[in-house]
Amino acid sequence: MALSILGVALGVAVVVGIDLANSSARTAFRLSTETVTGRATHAIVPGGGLLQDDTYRQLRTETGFRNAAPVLEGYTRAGAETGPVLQILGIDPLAEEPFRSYTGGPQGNLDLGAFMGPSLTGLISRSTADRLGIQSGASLALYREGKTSTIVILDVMDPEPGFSEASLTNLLIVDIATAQSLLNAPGQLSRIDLILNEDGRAAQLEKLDRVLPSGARIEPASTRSSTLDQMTQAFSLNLTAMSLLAMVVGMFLIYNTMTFSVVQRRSLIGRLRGIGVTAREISGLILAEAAVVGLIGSTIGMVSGIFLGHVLVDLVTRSINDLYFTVRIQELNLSWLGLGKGLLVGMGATVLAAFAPAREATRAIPSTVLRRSEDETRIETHGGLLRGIGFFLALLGALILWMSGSSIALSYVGILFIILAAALWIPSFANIGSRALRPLMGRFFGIVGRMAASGIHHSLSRSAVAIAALTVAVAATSGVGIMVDSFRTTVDTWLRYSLEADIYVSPPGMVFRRNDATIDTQVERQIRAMDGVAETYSVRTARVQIEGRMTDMVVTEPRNRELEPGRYKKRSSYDHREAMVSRDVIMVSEPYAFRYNTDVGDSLQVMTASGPRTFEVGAIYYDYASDLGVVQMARSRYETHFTDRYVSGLAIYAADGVDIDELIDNLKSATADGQGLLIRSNRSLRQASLDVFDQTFTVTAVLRLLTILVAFIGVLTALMALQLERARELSVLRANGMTPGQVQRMVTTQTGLMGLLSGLLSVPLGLLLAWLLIFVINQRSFGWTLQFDVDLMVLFQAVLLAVIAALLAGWIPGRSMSRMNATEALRFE
Amino acid sequence: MLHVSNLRKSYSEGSSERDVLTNLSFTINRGELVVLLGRSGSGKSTLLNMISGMDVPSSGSIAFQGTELTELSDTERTLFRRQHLGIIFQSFNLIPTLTVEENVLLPLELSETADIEQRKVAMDVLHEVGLGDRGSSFPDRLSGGEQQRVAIARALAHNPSLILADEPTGNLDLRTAETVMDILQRLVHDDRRTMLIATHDREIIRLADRVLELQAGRMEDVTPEMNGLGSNGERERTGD
Amino acid sequence: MRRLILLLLLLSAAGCTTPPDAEESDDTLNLAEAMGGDTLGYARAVGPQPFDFPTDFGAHPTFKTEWWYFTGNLWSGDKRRFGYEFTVFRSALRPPDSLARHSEWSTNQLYMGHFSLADPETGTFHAHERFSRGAAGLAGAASPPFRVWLEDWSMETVAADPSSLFPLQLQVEADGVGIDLMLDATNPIVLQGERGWDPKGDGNGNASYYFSFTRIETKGTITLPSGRFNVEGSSWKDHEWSTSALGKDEVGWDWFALQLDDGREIMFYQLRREDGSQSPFTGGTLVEADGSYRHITRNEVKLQVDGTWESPVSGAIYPSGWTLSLPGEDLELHVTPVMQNQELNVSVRYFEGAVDIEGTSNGQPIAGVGYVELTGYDGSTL
Repeated sequence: MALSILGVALGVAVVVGIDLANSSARTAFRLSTETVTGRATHAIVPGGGLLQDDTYRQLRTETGFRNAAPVLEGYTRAGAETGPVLQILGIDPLAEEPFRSYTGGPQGNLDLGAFMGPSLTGLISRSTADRLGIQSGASLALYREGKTSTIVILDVMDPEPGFSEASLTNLLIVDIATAQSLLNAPGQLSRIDLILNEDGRAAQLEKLDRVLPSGARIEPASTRSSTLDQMTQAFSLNLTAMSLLAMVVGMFLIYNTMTFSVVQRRSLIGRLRGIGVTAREISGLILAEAAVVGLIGSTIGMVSGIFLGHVLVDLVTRSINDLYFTVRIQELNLSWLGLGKGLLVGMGATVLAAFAPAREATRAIPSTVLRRSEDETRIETHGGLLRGIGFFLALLGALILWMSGSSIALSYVGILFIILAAALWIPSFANIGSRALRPLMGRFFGIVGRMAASGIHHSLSRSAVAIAALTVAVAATSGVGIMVDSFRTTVDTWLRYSLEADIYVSPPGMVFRRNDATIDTQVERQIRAMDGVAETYSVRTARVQIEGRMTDMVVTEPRNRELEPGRYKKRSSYDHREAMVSRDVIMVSEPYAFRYNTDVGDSLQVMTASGPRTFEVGAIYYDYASDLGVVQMARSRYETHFTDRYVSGLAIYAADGVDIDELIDNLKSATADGQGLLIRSNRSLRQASLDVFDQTFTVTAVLRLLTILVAFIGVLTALMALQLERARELSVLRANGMTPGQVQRMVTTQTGLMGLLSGLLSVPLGLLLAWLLIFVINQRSFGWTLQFDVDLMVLFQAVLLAVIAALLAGWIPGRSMSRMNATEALRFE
Repeated sequence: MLHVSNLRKSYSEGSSERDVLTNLSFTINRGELVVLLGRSGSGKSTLLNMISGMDVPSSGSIAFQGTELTELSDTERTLFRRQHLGIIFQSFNLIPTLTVEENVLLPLELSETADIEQRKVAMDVLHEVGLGDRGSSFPDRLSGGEQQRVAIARALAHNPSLILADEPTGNLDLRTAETVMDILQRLVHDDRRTMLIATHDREIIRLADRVLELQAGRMEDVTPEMNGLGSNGERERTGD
Repeated sequence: MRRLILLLLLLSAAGCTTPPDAEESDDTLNLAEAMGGDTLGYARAVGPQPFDFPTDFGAHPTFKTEWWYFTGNLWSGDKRRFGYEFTVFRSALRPPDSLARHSEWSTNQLYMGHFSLADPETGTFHAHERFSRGAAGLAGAASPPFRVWLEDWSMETVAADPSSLFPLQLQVEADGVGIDLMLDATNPIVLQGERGWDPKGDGNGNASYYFSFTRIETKGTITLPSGRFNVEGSSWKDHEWSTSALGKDEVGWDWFALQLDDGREIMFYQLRREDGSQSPFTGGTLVEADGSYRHITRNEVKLQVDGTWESPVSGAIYPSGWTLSLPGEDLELHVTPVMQNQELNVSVRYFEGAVDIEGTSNGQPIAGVGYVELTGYDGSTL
């Protein structure tokens, strides 16, 4: 019984843990954006880059529009270079009153002179202050893009009424002036928050339109958080799917343990039936028992799920931080809904899985060998039925996958059906496999081997379930493993051919994959002029409005090179690289083309400094850095249409014969005084990228481990049930001279064989899953083309894993069987 | 060949102890067919378990061909049993996952030292019981009587010194029981093997050299009354 | 006259705090504390200085406080009477410094705007307040050409010659109530106190620089939710700057700006002390029809309160109606607010009301209009 509870607890823990991590992340985004948005209904947002603050001045002095507040946002690290990330929110305290009440105003206690004056000052929340270990009046060092500033904390602020303390975590409120200084954005704003009333909106909009610069637009405040949600949708969905897989495997386990407990009490049940307890009452009893187990197990699972959630939320938000955007609030948010779901899933799964054992319990009369084999014969004939259902499910699954278009959720449903179909075929395979292997087993292990092999197809209803659970779990693990490896190989290959330069320079940014930090012009000049530097090419990462959406854009200086076919998924007939310099032509990344259904030759409207312009798509290139989609433009073109002259990174080619490491050291010491920069060799940048990749998949590694654990326990209970039923047989064997050692060997051989069968069956299933993950799930989530790279080692390890797991699971039953008094079973008669 | 002296077996039930067998002493000589009588709960199975070495007495001695069983470890007793004993149960005799042939050869296979000669002997025994052609079938394909015949074959296959049987005809109908009894008589009695059979089967009792009765943990030699067939005349069967 | 702006206190680091959810009546602060406060590091009005116009029409950021103040009485075509006040206050949050500014937004100057419109025909008194920082073009004061603005409220010269102050345009609008007026001064500038240096209390530098334009021809429009009105009338302009002006025991003042129909104007303020007595720094100015003027002392003026009015909002009891006489000039004037409730309930609470004047001068009947300002009556203390 304890094992059942453990099994349920594990399954529920995983589901709850992932659910809490996902929902915490989503709540965190929402809370952080809502807190910052305050009561604003709309905002004037720029077409690209930042808004000129003159727009605000015009708004105030010319239109007399009242409910407007300027905002300048950014991020910085506090305390140390690797310290916690704070979100800088620059505001005008005199305009804040209708919008946010935690920012202070003329009616509040804020020392406006200190706040708006030339010295850098700011406000933080109590919890942030505690975390940084500072109090009001203290100085705080801030690190951003390699530069350091010091800010004085004026006061500690309290949250808006109705909002929690957590909503202000890691928020640094400063004056616009301070923000412009810290973020190096003189004369600029991120946006102007607005409150528009329902009535009179037309008139208000007309007023605002007068001062709206070209490219800027008014968008509703809710757009911001929904954008964030969309970005990470695929990511969190995939995580949820994995957690549900653990639960599915858990259901196998529950079925096994419930069966085991029925088997254990067969005689008791028989006696109960004898004294007049009806079949219905018996099954009701079993189900009630299952419900209790489900309840206890789910409760334990929920509590453990909370702990697991803590671990996972860290991993999940760290991944999101690396890949998408800075997450300000990183806390585990206990949602009753999430816990409730866990309870429901746990109890539901337990009762559902207990149905079959409950039914079996009603037929539990102490039966003869013949009777039992009747059951087994039924399973064998049912094998045909199972295969039929399995085939049907497989077809259904394939159909769903075919028809589900781009829906990731439906794709997983299709995959689930296929897994179920495979599970239904496993009894047949186990049957055939054990029969086929019997002679071989006899050759290696003697009579014990033959008994082991026969034992599998003789008690197929028990052994097949255990084999199925282990097979599915191992297949899932190796499937995911192959997918991750393929992904990694693809990324590695791509990094190798896209990182051509010797040295890469960039300022430290908040989000690894989307770094729009800039390098000081002076430092850039210094680097370009360094001894040993042959050529330098710049990269600028910017956010630009394309087709009405804010899009990441990479601006590059193209090198004189041959056009490499490997880089491009699709190209136009002309030399697009030359076209990018001479005409309004740009390239889009593969995920971009996927997300927005864009093809070579399409026109995209780009909001430039002089208004919207049409660019033609010249090529689709492979890019694994971002699943959000990136557009690439030539630098010369960029400078024609935009005013931004900054650089986000430099790619350096060393002169012939120059030692790379030495050049790196020289560069580092030359720029040591100024902006702190990351100066890395090609190799170390590649390694850093792969490290981020690996870290992202740590979550899946944790889940895979847990799935195996759940399967292990399932196998263990199945084996224990199996051995229990063979108690009589065991006595006969002992009577005929089987030593305890031989008993143990027999059990071990049988479980080892079951493991071997699981392992072998998991190979095709695992390959299938890997294929589906790579070419369906990945494709539909992100649009990437991945190389299907199967490392035979992975498959071999899968088989080995299955065998070892089974052997380990069989050890305890084996020992208990060997220790059992041979005469115990004989007394039954 | 088998000496049992002052055998006692008790079980603790809670705080008290219950004696199943009290101070049993008897001897079985080579070539004897001894029948063990007793109601269910009399301790028959317990006694058989101890003689076969599957269980140990609380006190007393069991000497089999000079070897004191009570001094052996579980594994040693198992090996001893494997070599010298053949056992037949009332039911569940055969291993369902082994063929008939493999079942017959079971003790030999467990020793892992069976040579061609021994195997041939075993197969001959199977022939003797009339199932030589069913060697590759699995037990679930055989009738109750056939299964029991295979069990007998197995009990004899490794040429043991002593054969123990616990109600060998208990689960069989009249005709099958007769068949089995015939075989027993032929293979065992006529070949002068030593057997200890717990049974109520009148026909077997008639064949017995001695009849011992277990009553309330004590043993009594009741050969004369039994052999002479009591006043009833019919075969009494006291099924369990 | 000086006006006291408590916003300074609200915003400076003088240690005065107002709880955010305090009732309105507690929002206002003690005048004395406001005028006092932290005055270290600012320039002080220690003595008369020659003015440099038109530059001095603009801002004096080294001083802590400053305001540009307009009031006026206007009549529409069908003799409907209005009174308006438009004042822009500047307050320095920190003493002048030489720190580098990395942003156009960083500033030490805070601007506050007050606009009120009295509409006695309907008995409505509109009052509005605005705040803005004096940076990034959001608010400020400059001259030449003269322009003082706070967001979309502005007072600026429309003269062809940029160094000229008049003609001047006032444009204010809030919640559908607004004024758009053209002002042209009839009389030349009046330097108050001693050549524009007006001491208010004991101690070095407890004074302000202060000048006025006492009669300004006004024409333009008033916009109300009910409609737009073409109006004409006369206005008064004050420009004053100081660092600390009140003495320790002064709690408020009653200030009169009277325009008589014989072409004369009187400016008179009575400083009230904590114990209820009149401060010795009470005084004023008498401007003759030809534009010449002289200082009048408190001994020359007799002020008597004829009635009171209790504010239903603040509970303060204001004097309402006075008899102001200058026996030496044989002048007796009865000053009556055109409507009782002309109290501004904004961050600072004070009474700014249009008044009617009728009386006798040398035995002849005389009439006029004007404005009266009453501060420190709400009894709020810290």
